[in-house]
Amino acid sequence: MLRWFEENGKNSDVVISGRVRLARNINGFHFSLKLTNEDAEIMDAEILTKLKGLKAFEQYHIFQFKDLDDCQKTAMKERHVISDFLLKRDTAAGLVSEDENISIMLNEEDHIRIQAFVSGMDIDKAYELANDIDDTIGGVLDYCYDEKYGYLTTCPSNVGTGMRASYMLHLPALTGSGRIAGLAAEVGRFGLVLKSLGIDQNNYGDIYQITNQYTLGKSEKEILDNLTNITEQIVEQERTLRKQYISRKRLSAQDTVYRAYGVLRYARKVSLGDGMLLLSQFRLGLSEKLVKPSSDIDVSIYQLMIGIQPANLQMMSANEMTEEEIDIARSQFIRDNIPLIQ
Amino acid sequence: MLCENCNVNEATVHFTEIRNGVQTEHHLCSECAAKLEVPGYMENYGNEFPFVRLLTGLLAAGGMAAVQRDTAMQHICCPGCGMSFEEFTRIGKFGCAECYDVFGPLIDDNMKCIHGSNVHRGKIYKEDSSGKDSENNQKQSESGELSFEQQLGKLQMNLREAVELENFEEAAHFRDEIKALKEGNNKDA
Repeated sequence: MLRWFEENGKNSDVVISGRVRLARNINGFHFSLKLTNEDAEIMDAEILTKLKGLKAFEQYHIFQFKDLDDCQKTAMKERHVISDFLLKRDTAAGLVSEDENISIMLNEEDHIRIQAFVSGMDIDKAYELANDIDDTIGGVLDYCYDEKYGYLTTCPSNVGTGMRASYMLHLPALTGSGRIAGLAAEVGRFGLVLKSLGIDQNNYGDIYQITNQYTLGKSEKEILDNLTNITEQIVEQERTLRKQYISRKRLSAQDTVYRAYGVLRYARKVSLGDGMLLLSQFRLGLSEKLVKPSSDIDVSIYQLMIGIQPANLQMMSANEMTEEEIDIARSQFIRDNIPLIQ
Repeated sequence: MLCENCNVNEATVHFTEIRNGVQTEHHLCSECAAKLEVPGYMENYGNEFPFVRLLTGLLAAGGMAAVQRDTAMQHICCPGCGMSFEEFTRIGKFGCAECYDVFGPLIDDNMKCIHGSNVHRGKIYKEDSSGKDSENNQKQSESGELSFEQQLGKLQMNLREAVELENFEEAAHFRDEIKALKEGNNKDA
């Protein structure tokens, strides 16, 4: 069973994945802001007891923070199974589907956060998955719901549908031509937010996330359609810029991709920043057929981008590694997994 | 000078904020500045949307000004979780479901500013039962009585007026009525 980041979906030259996240709270407990750790533990246990008996979750893996070390938790965050917010919590638990495409986080900013990932540009599928889970959970637990405000959430920015839908995009050409800031301002007018996924805004493999800003006053379908419509336009802009650049400077473009491949294939130490940048260049080369892979197997480069994150590398080693040892392990991981080219 | 947020550490971050044309001076310690995600200060400015800041900004421009004029607003408190109006305007987040009954009517206009709307139009929870509800409500309307939504809207308007006029006893009364009405409605469902 392939995970969302192990395969390439629709419009995968630009769109890596789609994600839908639903925020829900249940009656009988204060929201996270006013919930003590003790009460959170009681709540998590109650929810888990109710959910684990259900057929829908038979194949799910249950996790509890008290059983996990920091590295395991960080690795889950790097694979997008849990959120940054959850990672910082003392008490948390959840359920994850076998392929890790669906996860249910407990004691996040809201009591329950349901998220579903799909590869490529198919947000409707992601919503369908999340919505089914929502119906199942809503059937056995009593959600906080208000006729006027819809699903009640800790933060007023999530109230209503409680839904955030997003696409993860690879935008090297728009980044290279300095158009991201303008684009971010433009999509803001349509109620969307575009931001870099990295902490260091310039150094995360040109990967961005576009998300809906409004959750109240619009139906789920309206929100999803708006997101997809605007994203389609971004995909077209990115493609046009790539074509323009390649038609004008084909050799330079090819040179960049071969150089990236050379380092990825033969370097003995690779930092995270370099790894992300070089994989981004190589991904662009494969998408635009500037280089030809030796085999027909369609490899997802984003899978490598997740694999080279520090905690995931650390997970593969028995001993705790220094930063330098991680850079060495990273180069080895890339060599073992990068598709060969002709 | 002490940090205005924690009142413990020395304030090291000073800035002037202009929101909706209202200029305010702020003095924070570095910890609180990071915690409150002061723009430009946060090096790891990332995952949260600026909504919370927007909301607290809106509340600060409207609600908090009222607090400074008269401390009476500070008496409003959520009976569910104990969240005070002052705390709510500072954090911009709800402490429990009941907070929506208490603070919701006060920030209805702000909800419109944030989302462009203040009424949910998405998925309906437990659709079957609420479907029956609206039928019942329809019948009630025909017989001259107010429907659940109309009653709720009226009470929320009354609550808001009472708060604005600082009639807090009356406000508490309307708040309880809203709660009773909602509970009654849930039982019917």
